[in-house]
Amino acid sequence: MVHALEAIHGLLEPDGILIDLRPKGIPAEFWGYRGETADFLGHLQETDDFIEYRHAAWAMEQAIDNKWFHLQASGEYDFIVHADSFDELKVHLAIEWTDAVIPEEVRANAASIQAEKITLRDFIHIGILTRT
Amino acid sequence: MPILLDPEQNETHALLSLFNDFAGKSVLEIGCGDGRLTWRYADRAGNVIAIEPDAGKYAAALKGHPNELGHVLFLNLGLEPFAARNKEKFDIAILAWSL
Repeated sequence: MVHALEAIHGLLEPDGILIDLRPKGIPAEFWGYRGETADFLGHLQETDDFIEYRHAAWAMEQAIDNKWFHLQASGEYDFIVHADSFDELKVHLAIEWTDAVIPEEVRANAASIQAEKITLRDFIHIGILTRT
Repeated sequence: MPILLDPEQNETHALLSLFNDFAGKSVLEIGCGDGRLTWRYADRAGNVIAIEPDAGKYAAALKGHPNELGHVLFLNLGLEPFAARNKEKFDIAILAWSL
């Protein structure tokens, strides 16, 4: 990851901008909806315990320490995936989030409230960095 | 209802509230996936090269390419092979969930 940031540094103009969007590594939340009521169902799990996000954050710290980039601004947002069912969501995750696991407890919680719609809320970091 | 990704457009709002100086700029998007994020800023940029190493996602990006965004070029490449053959410098690089 540090090598990738070094390569990006080389691809940018001297005053270029790097926009870094990535999950914060906080477990994403499942919510179940029935009518207007929303209930927290539990957290998504990952087979590798979100380690890649900690590695990414560390790599960016290294890139800043190496003075390749200077952090100009940062923020965060919620990225929300909407689905009608866990089966639908499972197909999506199999392609987009291959190490994601939907815990059985989450499915059971959804069944207990007779959820008509499911959302998966992920927490995303955004950084604006200037090439130095 | 099909799966809906960020219908609230939180991603677009967060991006454009922090950075909105795309006009006339050259952009390299790394790990563009199916182009979901690309379509949300590309109309503001000068030109865009969006690279994606996964063949399936690259194909999806090509399929969803709006005709009016002819200044966007998708390449089925990862960062390393792209950097090895590229000679252009970019004003903006976007790491789209790909670090």
